[in-house]
Amino acid sequence: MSFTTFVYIVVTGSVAFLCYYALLLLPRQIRRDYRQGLQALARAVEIRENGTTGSAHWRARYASEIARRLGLPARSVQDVEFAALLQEIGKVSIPYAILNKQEPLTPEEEEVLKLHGVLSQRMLEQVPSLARLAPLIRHHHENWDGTGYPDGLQAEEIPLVSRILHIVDDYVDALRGKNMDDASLRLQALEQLEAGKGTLYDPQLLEVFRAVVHAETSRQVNRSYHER
Amino acid sequence: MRATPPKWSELLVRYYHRGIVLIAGGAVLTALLVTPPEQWMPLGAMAILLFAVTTEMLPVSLLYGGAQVTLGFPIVCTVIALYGTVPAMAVDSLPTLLAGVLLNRSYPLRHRLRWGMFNAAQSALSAGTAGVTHYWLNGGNQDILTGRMLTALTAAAVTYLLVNALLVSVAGALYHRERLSNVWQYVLRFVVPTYVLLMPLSILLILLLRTYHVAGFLLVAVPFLAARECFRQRMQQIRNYRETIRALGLVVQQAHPYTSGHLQRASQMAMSVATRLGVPARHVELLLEAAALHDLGKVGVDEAVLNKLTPLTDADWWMIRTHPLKGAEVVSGIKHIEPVALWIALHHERPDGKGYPFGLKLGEIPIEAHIIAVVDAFDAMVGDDERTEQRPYRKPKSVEEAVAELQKWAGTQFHPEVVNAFIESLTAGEFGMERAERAASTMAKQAVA
Repeated sequence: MSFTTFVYIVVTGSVAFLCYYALLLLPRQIRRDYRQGLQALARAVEIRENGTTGSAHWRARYASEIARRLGLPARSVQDVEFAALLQEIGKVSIPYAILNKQEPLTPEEEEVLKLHGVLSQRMLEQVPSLARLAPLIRHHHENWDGTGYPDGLQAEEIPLVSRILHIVDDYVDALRGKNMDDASLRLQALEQLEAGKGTLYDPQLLEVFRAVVHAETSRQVNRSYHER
Repeated sequence: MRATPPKWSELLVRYYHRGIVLIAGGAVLTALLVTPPEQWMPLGAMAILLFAVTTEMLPVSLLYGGAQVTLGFPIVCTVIALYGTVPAMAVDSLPTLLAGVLLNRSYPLRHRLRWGMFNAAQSALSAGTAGVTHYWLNGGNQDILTGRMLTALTAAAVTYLLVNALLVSVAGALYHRERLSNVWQYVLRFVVPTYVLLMPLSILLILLLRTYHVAGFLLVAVPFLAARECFRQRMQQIRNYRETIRALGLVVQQAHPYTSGHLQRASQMAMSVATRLGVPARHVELLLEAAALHDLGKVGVDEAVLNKLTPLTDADWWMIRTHPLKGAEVVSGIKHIEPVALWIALHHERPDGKGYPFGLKLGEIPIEAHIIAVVDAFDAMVGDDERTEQRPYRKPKSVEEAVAELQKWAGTQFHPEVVNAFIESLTAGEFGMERAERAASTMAKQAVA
């Protein structure tokens, strides 16, 4: 191989690497850093409310899985994920005493707690690049039959993303403080949600969610079978 | 208007500038005398000059320290290899001068001219020494891609880098009062790798220009500009993401007695104090984030405890003492500002060891944590509008009172050097606070009297 060929190869190779780095590696790294930053700020709420450590992570994971199964485009899947991460962030303005009360809340305190969706919405509206998530988060406690809050929307009036967030939020809440990897606890929580099918939750979405949870369980069973 | 006369360091910067410009002028004259006039500016070099002006007008900002990357370096290497020293000096310095004067319109013209002249002079010197090195090693040899030619080119590139880095770092050290070793560290870590990556580009350019002449140039120009655009977009994306994270962090903290106004002022102050203390440039940038997010941990504290007027119980104290750690825990998840977590964890430590959460002593606390402590305390004392309503037990102090308070506690509650640097920054008007400037001028009068 002549010296000239060698130089040509080196030059072409380094230009190719530069392209690979700028077009593929770097964007991926940038997106990962961004996601981690949002996850970290979602943790801020978890240090305020006892016993919720990790819930933002699980919400984001399940919500984005549902969105993927529904065949939403990649950008919307990411929006769903970020909305699930940040939906509770308004709780930083809810009094500490109410968030961490051991006894059942009084009706007045319930009303204050119910403000958290609107508070989250207001906070996200102040950050231009996240403002598009704000209305989705506002409605994450609307019920399918119109009995939810803050606006009492019904069925298809509720944005699709908010319906997803509602299911995932209640599911993760049912497992709060428990082992999320325990299959029987998971099925138990799923049955609990099943009771609200058609009244609290979108029946079709609940089916999709059921499939997500079952897929995860069977993946887990497979893995433990092969590990044995 | 600045009331203070120029300090010796500012005079030094000025003389340094003039000296470099004079030396460069001499070098250009010598080069012109030694070179026959027909080799001053061959047609090909002229075309490259035009291209160089274009790329120089479209700089790409790096994230830290306001540094900018242009494609000047591979172009200069190419010109050195193909046309010799004089065209290289022209191709490197003329675009720099033009860009320096025409861009950054927010600075006054005199300032732009001064820096533009200096940058052009140091470019001419770097390109000149590099060209001489190349000529010395390669002679008038016209072969390309021989071992000798590549050695000469590499040596020229290294010379260029060294001379450039030396001239710029001395200027930077004088101007920003940074330690020279910090500047060199930056040069070695960022500038050298970038330029090593750009070397293959210059070899590619040489090959194409030799083979296809000006047509080859077009082959390169388009991908060059495309690459530039791609790089610019990535940088913009990173900046937007970081902006979003910081903005959201500020919004989260707004729920508590600290308004975002306080945090933003605190971060500006922290940056100028850190620069004055010679903190490395990257840490200065990080301090901006650290000061903006330093109270995230308060989210985990019961606000009833913070606003309590009665004496605090042990449990209350425990909650307050752990808030820096909670903040650090949150921030440690944000990868691009990881070092910040430590400073946030320690921003309530005191030099005398009476701080919390650990009770560390002077030498054990990073300087950045001391800086956050001082700016936080100052801005909290001077206070402002909304915050006083929420803290009924604390009346806002005047700037003079707050400074006196800082001086009183220097050495016990605050790091003495940080307090001194803070007061220097304040009196130099770096914080852009009207009240502070007024107070500074009265303090200066008192000092004279």
